Amino acid sequence: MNIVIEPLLCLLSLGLLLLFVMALLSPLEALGWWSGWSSKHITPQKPVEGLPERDTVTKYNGSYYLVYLTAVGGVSAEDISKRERGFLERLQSRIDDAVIVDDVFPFSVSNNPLNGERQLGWLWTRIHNSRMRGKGSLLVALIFIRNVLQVGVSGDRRYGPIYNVGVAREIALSLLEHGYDIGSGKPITVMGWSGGGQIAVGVVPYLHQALDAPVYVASIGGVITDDPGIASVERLYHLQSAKDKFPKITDMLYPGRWKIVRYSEWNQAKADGRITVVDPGPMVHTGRGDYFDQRTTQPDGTPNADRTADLVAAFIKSQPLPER
Amino acid sequence: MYQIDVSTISGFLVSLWAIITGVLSFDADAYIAVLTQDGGGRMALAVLFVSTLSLSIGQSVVLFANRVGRRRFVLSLMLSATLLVIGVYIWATAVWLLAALVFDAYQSFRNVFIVVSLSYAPLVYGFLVLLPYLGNIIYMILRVWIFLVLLMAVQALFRFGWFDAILCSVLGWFVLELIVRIPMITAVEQWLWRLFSGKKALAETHDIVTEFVQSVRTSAQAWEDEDAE
Repeated sequence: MNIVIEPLLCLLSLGLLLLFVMALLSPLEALGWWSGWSSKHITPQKPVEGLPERDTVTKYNGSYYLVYLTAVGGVSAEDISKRERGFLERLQSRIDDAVIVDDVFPFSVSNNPLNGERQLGWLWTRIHNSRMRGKGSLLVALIFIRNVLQVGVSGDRRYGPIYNVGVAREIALSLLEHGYDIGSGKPITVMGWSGGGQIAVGVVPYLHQALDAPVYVASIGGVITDDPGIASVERLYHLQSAKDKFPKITDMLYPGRWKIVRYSEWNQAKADGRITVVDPGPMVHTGRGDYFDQRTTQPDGTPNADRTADLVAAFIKSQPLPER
Repeated sequence: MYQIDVSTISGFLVSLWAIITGVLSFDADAYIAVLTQDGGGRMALAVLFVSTLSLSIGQSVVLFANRVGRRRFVLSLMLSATLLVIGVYIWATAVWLLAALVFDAYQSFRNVFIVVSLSYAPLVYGFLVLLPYLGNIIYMILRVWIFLVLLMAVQALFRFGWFDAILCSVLGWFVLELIVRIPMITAVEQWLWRLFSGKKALAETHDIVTEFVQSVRTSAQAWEDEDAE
């Protein structure tokens, strides 16, 4: 019996130790970036360093600007799943004059993909490649854990401002590159799936201030804390299927999400009517039958991806546009 | 039981670890060893410094937020730990005076300082305050843990009842809070922070971030205006 139990306990202990070390180190990427200790160094004097020449920017001139933030399984903005790409295409087909920005990785404060230039980049690349080949499922969990911890950093009021302003800066730069005019009043919608929902809410006050723009949030099964950013959201549209239990995690973990805490940002926004929670029908959080699945259908025969795209598109089209 | 060895570095470290684990498990023998053996005072000071340094690491986000450089970061951690040690010294003095003047209970200052210092041993886990989400909860648990250990120690040292031990410790803490709010003390503390961190003032994260967003806004506007020209 001991031959089985002891190695298992040993593995479990090692796993917990690894989790603990990862959790302890998780704020350091954002803190190192902010303080200038890491190579991804920014300074207040060069806050928009990295923008291309103005005349090389494509002038899309859209009415709606949509920013998509992937879920905690992502390693980069480029490597999002086919289902997510399919959803974005569906959304584009429903809103012709929307400009979709999908090049910001929400789990890095400097938009540095896991398989990019970083000390453990080789490890994340190998894990990601294994996943692409359908192998290494245990190691793939490391990507989820690492990104979930970054969601925790974003939702922590000590680290959140630093983390979220970093991601907001990357989104702002990308929006400018996509032709967004500062002060134009055109609505920006940050869409976040799963953990991307928290980051979407976290970046809102900084995007709002930097671009002088009305900022909306579309959360697709979003795991959202009681983030101070909610106070700056014009409206938050939260898709949450009754079958999807993951968003309820933050309902339990963050007291500001509890109904009895009436004066939390979340409950205040709900009371103001700025948060709309919609059940899109039976959908799971991720995998077969999730919000972006094109093959699984709703009881009325609508594919999940179409149902989600319809609802999000309707929300976006309901946003008032500035007078021309 | 507990043998304090301050003759070698390895002996000192082994003794330090043994005393810390003893205090954390509410073992009265750990206190007795530090109170009665040679080198006890140095051991108590070491426990206190390790603990406060650990907490300073746990609370270092303000240094990162203020973009303190690496060398000054280490210096600032040392300053933070030292200031906490001074705070404990004041608390111990207050408890010692209150016990004598109010409760008519007498002990040497050395003994009181040792007892109060050792009670800070739970802060060896202070670095865990760095953890996202759990950090603040851990900090609260550590504060309660310190207070319970201190109560037990003060009660045993002065042979107080629980009520007197609570009253003496809380009043001591109250005196400490009053002293650290004296404008001259605050001014000296801020001067030391400026000296060690190299910053004019340690600002709140929110204010620094707001300032940064403003600079993003200004730069982005300038970049956009180039096109208009």
